[in-house]
Amino acid sequence: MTLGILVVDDEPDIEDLFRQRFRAELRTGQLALHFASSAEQALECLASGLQPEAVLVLSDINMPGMSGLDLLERLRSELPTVPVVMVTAYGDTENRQRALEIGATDLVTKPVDFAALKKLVNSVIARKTAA
Amino acid sequence: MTGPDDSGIDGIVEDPNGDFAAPGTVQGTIDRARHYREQVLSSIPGLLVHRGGRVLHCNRPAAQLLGYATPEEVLALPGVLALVSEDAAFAERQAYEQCLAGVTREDVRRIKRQRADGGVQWFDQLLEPVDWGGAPAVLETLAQVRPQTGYTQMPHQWQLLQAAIDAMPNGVLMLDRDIKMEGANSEFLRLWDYPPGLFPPGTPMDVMLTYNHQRGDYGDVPCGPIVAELASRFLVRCVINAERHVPNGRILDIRTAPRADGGYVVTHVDITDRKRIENELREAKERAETILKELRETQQQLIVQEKMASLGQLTAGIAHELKNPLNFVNNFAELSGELLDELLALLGPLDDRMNAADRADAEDLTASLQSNLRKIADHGRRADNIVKSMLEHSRGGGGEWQTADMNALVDEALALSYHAVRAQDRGFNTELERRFDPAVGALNLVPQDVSRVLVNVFTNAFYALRKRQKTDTEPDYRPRLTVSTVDCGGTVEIRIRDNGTGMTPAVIAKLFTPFFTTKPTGEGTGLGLSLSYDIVVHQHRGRFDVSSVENDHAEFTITLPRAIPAVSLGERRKT
Repeated sequence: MTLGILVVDDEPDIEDLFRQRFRAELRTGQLALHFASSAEQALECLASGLQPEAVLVLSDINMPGMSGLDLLERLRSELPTVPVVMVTAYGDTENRQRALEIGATDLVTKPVDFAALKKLVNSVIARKTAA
Repeated sequence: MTGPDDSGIDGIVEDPNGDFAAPGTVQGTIDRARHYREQVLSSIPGLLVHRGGRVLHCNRPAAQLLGYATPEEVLALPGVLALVSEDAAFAERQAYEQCLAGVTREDVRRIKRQRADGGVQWFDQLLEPVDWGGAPAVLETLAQVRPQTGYTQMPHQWQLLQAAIDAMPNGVLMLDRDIKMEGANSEFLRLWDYPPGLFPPGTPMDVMLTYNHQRGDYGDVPCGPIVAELASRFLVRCVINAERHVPNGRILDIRTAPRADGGYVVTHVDITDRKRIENELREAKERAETILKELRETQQQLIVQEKMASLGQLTAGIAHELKNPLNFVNNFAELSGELLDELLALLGPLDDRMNAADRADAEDLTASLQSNLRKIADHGRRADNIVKSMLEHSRGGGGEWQTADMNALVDEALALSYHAVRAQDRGFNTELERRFDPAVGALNLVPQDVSRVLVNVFTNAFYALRKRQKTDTEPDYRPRLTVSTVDCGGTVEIRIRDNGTGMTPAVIAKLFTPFFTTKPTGEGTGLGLSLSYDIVVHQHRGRFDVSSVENDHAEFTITLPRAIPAVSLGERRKT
């Protein structure tokens, strides 16, 4: 079965990076990636229904308009079952603590270590499918 | 009705204005009796008893002499010093204290008192210690100044002159051409604290000066020379020839003016108050200057702190902004390497179709590509490390305030740094001298951050020692690091001195600037000391001082206060 991941970041190059990094998983059809360039767009996508359905959201924190933490808050109340992992340049304890308090599953700091991210994605998905 | 007693009194008491009732009448007797009382009273000296300034007793003549209607009015005064004019208060207080302590003065003092009507009157005064109500008190006897026997025989004009100089506000001493006293006024006697009648006209000047010496005016010096020297000053004309401190605490400005007949008029002006005001003004000026200096220093410190703070904020901003592009650089570089490997794997089977030369070219190209990608990744990581330390720098320590033993902290940091440098360079060795002051004790600080500062400074010191050891041509060079802690009461000093390469003034000037480094590219970020400065000065409100002589030594002094204000400027910098 194909699992959908929604990546929210205002950097357009993030799409290339993720597609290339997860190219093996994409080729085998294990994963499908959706991209949104803002928190607002992400909410729209999720509301209109994504195919395949997103089982994990990866979101940047610092974005023009609605921030990643605001998005996280909205998702916690609207889609409490979808885990959200924050990806940010602001890896200090304060931001981390806030993100975890609001309900983020984890926090990954930039530059992103994709080996670690893949492990994280796999563990989140494993937990998700087990549940 | 006449009796023998009545006539007896009548014989003594004359009726000066014819105001009394007729002699022989009752009223006349009473009038005469009253008048006689007035006469007796006027010949009795004024008596005051006081203790610690409070008037305990005042007799009727004293009240009258001072211009008060009743003794009760004198008793109602705030204190006995209310009768003393301000310029004489110091001397009087001293005289009273001495008397209260039981010292009896044998001689009379010439003093002035302020009358009820504000006028000033000269008196001769005697002070005696008495027992009053079971405790010691001062018995002060005041008598109107009487013409001295010597003076009464003087011609009328001399008496007029005496009255005139007595009325002058300054001390006046008249000397004849042989430097013998011709006359003096009351103010002169008061200023010098000379008992009236001590020096009759005709007393030679050196007798007066010898008297001064004997009572200790000139301190412990031989009598002859000082008297001769002072006497010679009176011969100098028209100049300020002395500014003297006299034993009663006053400062006198003494001037000599020559007279046509060869004598001198010596005037004494009491400049105690002027001197006091001058001193106060000078002290106030010095205080103001000290405060101004402190303000300037604080201002300087604030400017530096503010500069550092805004630099820190800027650094944090730049660091965060750099993280995003770096994310792409690092990831795409790594990815490209992977993609290249995959591409090569795909092209592997085609290798056989190429001729040997092309294959060699292709292998060379792919090798270069891979090495380039590795370089991009390496430099990306380097940039990432710089960004990390920049963020660390701007964020300050996340550590907690704790009470920690300073000497232990220093020792620990020293061991840590020494191991680190030895791990890099096995051949490096240095003499370490620890001079720890046990009085330093425990301090409230953020141990994690202070330790970072110390490690930083130690590492730099070891670097300088190694560098000098490597380049130094003198064979007897021995690297040496001295670490001392000193308890300075409210502060604690940590001095770190190495005899390494030292620094030029130009380097010292830029030492705490972020990104400034003297190490080769890639070895230092230039943030270590900048961060250390932040921790010591902003976070801990301390001082960070540097002194160095190139190719001789470098000394870093960190001063930490024992008590730190709760809110430090550095805390505003949280991002």
